[in-house]
Amino acid sequence: MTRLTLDTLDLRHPGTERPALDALSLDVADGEMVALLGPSGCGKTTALRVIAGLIAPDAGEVRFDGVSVGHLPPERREAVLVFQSGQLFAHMDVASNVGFGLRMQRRPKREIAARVAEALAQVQLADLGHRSPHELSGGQRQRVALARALVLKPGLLLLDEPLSSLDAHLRTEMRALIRRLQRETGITTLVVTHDQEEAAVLGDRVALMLGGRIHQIGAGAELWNRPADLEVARFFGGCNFIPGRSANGAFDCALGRLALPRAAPAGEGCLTLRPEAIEPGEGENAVTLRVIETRFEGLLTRITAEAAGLRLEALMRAGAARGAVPGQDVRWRLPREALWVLPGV
Amino acid sequence: MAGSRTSATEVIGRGHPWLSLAPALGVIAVLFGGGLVLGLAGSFGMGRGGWTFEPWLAVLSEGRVWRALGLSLWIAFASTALACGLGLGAALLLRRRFPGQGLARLLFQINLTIPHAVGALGILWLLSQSGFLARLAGGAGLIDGPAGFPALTQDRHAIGIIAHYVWKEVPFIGLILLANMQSIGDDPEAAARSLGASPFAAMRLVLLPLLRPALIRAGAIVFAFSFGAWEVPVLLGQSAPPALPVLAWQRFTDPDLAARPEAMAIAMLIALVSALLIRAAFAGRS
Repeated sequence: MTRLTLDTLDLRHPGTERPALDALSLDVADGEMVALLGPSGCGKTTALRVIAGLIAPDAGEVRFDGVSVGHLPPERREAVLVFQSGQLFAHMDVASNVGFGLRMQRRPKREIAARVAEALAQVQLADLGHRSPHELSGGQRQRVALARALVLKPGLLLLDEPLSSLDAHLRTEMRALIRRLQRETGITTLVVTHDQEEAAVLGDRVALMLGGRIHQIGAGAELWNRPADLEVARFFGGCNFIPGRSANGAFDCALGRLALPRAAPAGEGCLTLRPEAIEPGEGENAVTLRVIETRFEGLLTRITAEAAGLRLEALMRAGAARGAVPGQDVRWRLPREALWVLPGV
Repeated sequence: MAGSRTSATEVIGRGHPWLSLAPALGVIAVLFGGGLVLGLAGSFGMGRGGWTFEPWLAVLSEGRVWRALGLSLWIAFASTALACGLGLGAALLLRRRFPGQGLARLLFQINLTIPHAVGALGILWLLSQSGFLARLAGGAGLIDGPAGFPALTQDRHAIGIIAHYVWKEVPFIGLILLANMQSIGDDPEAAARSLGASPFAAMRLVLLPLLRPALIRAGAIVFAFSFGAWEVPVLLGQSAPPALPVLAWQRFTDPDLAARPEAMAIAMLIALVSALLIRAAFAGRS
């Protein structure tokens, strides 16, 4: 298994203004699964291709176990990339597809057959070896692509949006399968996704990539609740930003003095809390606001309210939202643990 | 919703597909099928007083026809193989991004616009024993006179004819393959590389099989043309034996009208052999 290090990678596609990779640095520990999360166009697929050796960076280094692999072509790197579309070879049957990498390693035919059968069993497609790729469903194709990579027992597995072409039901199943196989094999894995939920479920850690560099990396909940900066908070759907000053565990702002959780950054900054964290009722950090608008969004209702020229948005279940009527005052509690300060914003 | 049940065929053209295709098929049937039927009928002596197998028997028992068929097969196979090989190589080179790529592609494709007869005259001017290359060789003292230059036109091996077809068809094959490569993209090869294939192995085991159907289709067109066209062998070929289409053309323009049914039989023979070989090529694909 391999430890992956990206060291200040720079890459600019010719003819584009913004760099695709902007001093991108990342460490993935041996046997860890990291989800590289970001909106489309943030450079995450480019990063994956640089690691696989399919694109050369303009500057910076890719290291496997501390050793630079910049000079190695893709076929000599310990990494296997699974493409978003699967990229099964249409002119080969499933077994030949899965055995392709072993054939490139000139393994004996008998060994290839045995390992292919084992890999297909791992992804629950044991009987489909003789099928041609166009006879498979989307989910089966994606599983074959996964088996084709796993059969090589690579040091590093790179998954590019492995679930994006699947429908919701298959997605959950495939997610569990990837998770299980990664646990069983212990292969260091970097999975690229634009889906927050997928990143949180798949990754031991989630790395949020915006504009070609990592803005924050950590456990999923940490990124949601303790964003490092405004852009991270916005990416995760943060919409409440209150300017003020943090000192001695409290935040002074137009809403008054609010108690902060421990270890909240001090100094001038912006208070943020997720809309679904706001609760109706009295208690610590309770404030009075005038309801401006309510909007039904299915399971939850989005309520916009105002006080002292500040707007807050809350997402509440139907029962809790019933008390909010436009034009009337409400008492909202801003739970201490849900508050976070973005310093210097 | 009832409205969403409308199927694609109904949107494109209401009614049975055959009905929608009828106008186009009608034109093809009259122009192409009609010619074929008349030619076939002519080869059995129709219009000359009754049905007869005589023209076919005469043609098939004539050694000259078989030698001409052999020559035409040689021309078509050699031209197709060389054009496919070189066209594939050129397409592989031209798909890479490099400065001046647009200009290179334009130059590569420019002779698609030149008519065959004009190209053949160019080949004659370039390769014949009194042509440009022969003069250069003479000027350099490599040969004593025109006869010292190897016969590359009007020669036994039809080198001039093959050279012309290759020159003319390499851009055609290249163009088709380049368009095909563009739609295939780089990802299949990239996937193979990531699985451990060398650049050459990725090309041989992944890209080429994906290009094969297009190559066979383009090759079939080149084969059919170089097997059945007469103007290039007329200009660049030897007279005995001539290529099969030239023989048909000679019989057809013979002052003796009795040779006409034989001309038709030879023409039908060309169409038949060509169709069978192309059919075999497509069958071998799957």
